[in-house]
Amino acid sequence: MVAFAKVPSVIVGRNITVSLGRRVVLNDVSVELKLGQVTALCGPNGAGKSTLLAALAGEHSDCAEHVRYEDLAIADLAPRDLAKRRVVLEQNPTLSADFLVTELLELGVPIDLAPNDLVEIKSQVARDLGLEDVMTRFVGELSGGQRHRTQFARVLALLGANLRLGYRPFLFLDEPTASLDLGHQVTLLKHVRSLAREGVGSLVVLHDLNLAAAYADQVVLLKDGELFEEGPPETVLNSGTLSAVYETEIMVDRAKTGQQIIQPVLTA
Amino acid sequence: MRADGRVILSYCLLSLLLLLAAFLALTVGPAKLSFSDLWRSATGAGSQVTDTILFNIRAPRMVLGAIVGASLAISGACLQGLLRNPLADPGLIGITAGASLAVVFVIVLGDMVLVGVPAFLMQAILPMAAFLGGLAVTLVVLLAASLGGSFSAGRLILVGVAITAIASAMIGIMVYMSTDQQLRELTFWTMGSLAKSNWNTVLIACAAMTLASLALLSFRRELDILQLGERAAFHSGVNVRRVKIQICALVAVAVGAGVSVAGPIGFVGLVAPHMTRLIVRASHWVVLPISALLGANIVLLADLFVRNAIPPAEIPIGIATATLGGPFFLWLLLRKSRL
Repeated sequence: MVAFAKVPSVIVGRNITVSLGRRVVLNDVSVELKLGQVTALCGPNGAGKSTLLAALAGEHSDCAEHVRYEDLAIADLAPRDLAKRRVVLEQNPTLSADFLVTELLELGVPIDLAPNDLVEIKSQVARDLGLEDVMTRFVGELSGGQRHRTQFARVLALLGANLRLGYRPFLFLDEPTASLDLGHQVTLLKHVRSLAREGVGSLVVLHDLNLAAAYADQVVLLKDGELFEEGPPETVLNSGTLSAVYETEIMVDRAKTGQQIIQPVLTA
Repeated sequence: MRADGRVILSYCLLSLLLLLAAFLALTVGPAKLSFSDLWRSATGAGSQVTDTILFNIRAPRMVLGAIVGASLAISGACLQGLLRNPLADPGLIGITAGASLAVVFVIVLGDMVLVGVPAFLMQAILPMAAFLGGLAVTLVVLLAASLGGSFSAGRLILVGVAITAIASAMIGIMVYMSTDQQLRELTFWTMGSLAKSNWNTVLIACAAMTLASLALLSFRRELDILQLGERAAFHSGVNVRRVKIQICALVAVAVGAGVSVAGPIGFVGLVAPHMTRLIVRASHWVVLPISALLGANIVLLADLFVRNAIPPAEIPIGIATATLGGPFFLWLLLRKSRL
């Protein structure tokens, strides 16, 4: 895609180390996120992907000095200030109350957003994600996949609201494709891609390396809480590196269309 | 989401019902007053007896009932929203028990320790004890729930249940040690009553409850966002830890002040918000104010009932709210599960 080296990094994590109890979950990992760039966070189960995403989102106070948003350490950013600079979709989003989809999309929207803008942003998001038909239904009545898409819509509404207010928020998605069918997986990542064209930077935890290869500008590969390799998907996602990271033989082919095809070698 | 027809209708009907309940609270009783008695007293032309009954006995009782009901309902609704647990109630996290225990302590042990304290000071000491007891337990629960760094809602409830159990056991010991005279006094503090209302005791407590409830109303947006879970609420800009501490402290003030003048009145904090959610659904923008109206109605009507059921005796209001509220709550739950 474009040469991003010239674009300055906005979110910078330097030497992030996170321990839960005695266990070191993340050891000395450094990452940079840029505007308009999609970064895929990949690696085996328990590699520390979600922890790294949480640390960059400002959740871990023990690395509050190691993560900076432009020139501010997250230690100096109140939750409200962080919310303007990044929006987050959790791996398993929940909702404890009986809200309509249209009400869900309003949760957390900054209070200084004009009501007209809110209406506009909501209908835009509903249109983009094909949720117009379910807006007046209860979130609880929807199927698991639909529910997940409404939560993605909520995060996009937050993103839209903060963009409208003049901020340049990043989009953090933790395994957004896990409960979606193939069609919706592609739709979601196409959407992330089109946001990137408008300048929105994103960090996406992905298990499906084919999706990472197709939609990411940068891939960060984690293994056992350490940074294994990072760079553009064409260089990082190769058979040797992946086989080492996942400890199983993985082949990387290229389809006639040029699309990378990444698969484990399936032996009995 | 803030004003559909149902919501507006609920506001109107509940406000009308509240006016009616207030009117009945002022007129119905051992001495029956008519609307014209009320009018004459209000315009300064009433008889002295009527004026005394109205202004010094029934009016403070009515005001106290309405405010206690409203603040219990708001406290319950806020705790349920904050802990994302439909069973949360000021009674559940130990606040009520702590307030009651402090008062029982003062009554039973006070005779030994507080010898020579004039009676009017004792009057002030009991509400103060209830208030401090509620606050102290809240602090202990908050502290215990945040040990080890993370402050979890589940642990808050567990600690509250444990504290309630300890407090009940200690109240039991105190009851066992108490004299007959003290036992009668204890009934008030373990089952609740509005019978002790007079302006002197009511005013400060009502001010505290009103201020705390209004402050709780300002957390409607945060409570809605918290329904996404604590992580997502943080992601959306809510300072979760601070909000939790603020809400718990405000609930302690509201409930402690209520217990200090009316004793523990159960079930209102549970039933009022639940009924509200069945009528107007989930958003705290409407759940909190409508619960408050409903809670005020429930307490006023329950007090009307206990004052007039078997005159001149008076049933403790806590018994009435439990006997009426319990089955009603059960019915609501069964009805809901069929839908």
